[in-house]
Amino acid sequence: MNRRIAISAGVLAGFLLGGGLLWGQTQTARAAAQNEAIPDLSSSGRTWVLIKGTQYYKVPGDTGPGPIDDKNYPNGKFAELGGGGARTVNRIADTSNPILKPWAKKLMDIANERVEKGGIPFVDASRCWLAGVPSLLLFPGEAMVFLQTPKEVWLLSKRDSQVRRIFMNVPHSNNPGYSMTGESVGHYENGDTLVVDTIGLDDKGPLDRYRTPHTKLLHVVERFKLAKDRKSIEITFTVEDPGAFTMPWRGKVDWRAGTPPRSDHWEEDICADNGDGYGFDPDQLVPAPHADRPDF
Amino acid sequence: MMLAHRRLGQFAVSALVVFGAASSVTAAPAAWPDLSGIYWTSTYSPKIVPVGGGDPPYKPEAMAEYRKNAEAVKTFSLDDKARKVCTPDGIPRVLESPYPFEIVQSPNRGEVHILYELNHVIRLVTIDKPLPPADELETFPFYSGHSAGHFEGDTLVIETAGFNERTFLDNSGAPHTDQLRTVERIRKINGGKELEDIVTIHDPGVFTKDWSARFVYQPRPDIRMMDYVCGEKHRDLSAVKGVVQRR
Repeated sequence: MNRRIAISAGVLAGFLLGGGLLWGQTQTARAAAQNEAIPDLSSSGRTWVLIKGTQYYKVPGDTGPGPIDDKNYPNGKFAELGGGGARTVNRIADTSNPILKPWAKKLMDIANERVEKGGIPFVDASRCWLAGVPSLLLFPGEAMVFLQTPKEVWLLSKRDSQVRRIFMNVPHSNNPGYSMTGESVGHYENGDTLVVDTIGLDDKGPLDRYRTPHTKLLHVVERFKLAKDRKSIEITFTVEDPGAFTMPWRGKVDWRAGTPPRSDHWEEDICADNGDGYGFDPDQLVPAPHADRPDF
Repeated sequence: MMLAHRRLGQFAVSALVVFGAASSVTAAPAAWPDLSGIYWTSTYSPKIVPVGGGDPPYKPEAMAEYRKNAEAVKTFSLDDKARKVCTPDGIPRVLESPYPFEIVQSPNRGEVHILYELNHVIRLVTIDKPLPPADELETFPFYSGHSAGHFEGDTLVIETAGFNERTFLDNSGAPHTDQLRTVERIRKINGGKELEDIVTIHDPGVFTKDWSARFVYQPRPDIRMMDYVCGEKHRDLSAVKGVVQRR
């Protein structure tokens, strides 16, 4: 009897253990499948546009230093000035932010002083330079589109037809060189997030609209997280650049699905068509890219 | 029993409706021939040459304008924004670009994108949809025009209209008007070793009749597309026959 009980108990234990293992394996497989699932970033065939203003926000919950903010309108308040205000008030960077190395702070203080005296602030995108990473995230009201294939993801910006290419599930090259958009590799996580790791960024152009500089040591990791209703994407990113910053820092922007009539679809928008500098004094503007002679 | 049969019948009808609807929602579109990838030409000519050779069939006044433009090209005095401030080259000029381009097919979006390295041009081709109405083409003219395409067997057929008048048809100053319309037939040839684009050009403002030009590219999975910054030294073009690289 005892033996019978022992056998039955053993069978039961074996069954439970086996079943538990099987259940565990199934759950693990499910979790792995969910983790590797590819989120549909197509915005139902439409586009994405930036929410709020053209600045990075602090990641909720972060208590330490964050992205450069406005000296006169702190805590992301510059964006709340609204369209008219944001266009008539120039940004003054808060250079007391401890993320800045002394040379970067000095450079930004000089730019601040120039802007405070009525100088025109430099915005790379407004002067038709490629925006780079992560500043491509900051184009206001301009459609963004993801194209996804298993090996590559393209991020297209309507603004001057800028393109970022993200190579999926591969390591960085041994020698990626340097360019405005660098070398991006990516993978998916949790079935809802595209993670993009970018190096090989040259030191041209600022990181944001506060003229924050960087060096070729810049390393950016972005996380594009699709909302459950698929109507928005939260983008958090980590910036490391021991050449320009005293510590890694994080920032955040949000995109929403483009809305009709015109932000929901693609159209050509060529920056050089605004070559007159929007009527500003050309002597005060950084020259837009141009060729003194054709390259072929 | 009758009730049971009726219920069964209702289920059958419901099932047909549900499954019918489901199948219409989930039905995969006909597979597109795979033209995706990076391509690069191995030859370059600044002058667009019609199939069969010779000159495009210019009207006399257009020929005079072309000759004037061609002289200005030699001294870089032509008002050519594509080479000076890097606006898009337009169609068909970008087809003769000595830089690579890539085709990205997105059946889930019903779109094909052609991404040209030169002047970082993005060209959107909507598949199986008509071109925008004439008033939209006129109100929103683009450098690259508006493109609508469809597949015919192994060939991607792209119709493009709604061009602005700020481009040339080639790098030797061939003029056009806003009456320009193009039809391209793009397919792989030689067992996939090459990609062919035959473009037919219709512009009664400039030409006496429609004509075609042919471009051939090689697949280049070994290279990556690069950023293009106007006025800066770019990739080596020494492998492209016919190019004189000036930077």
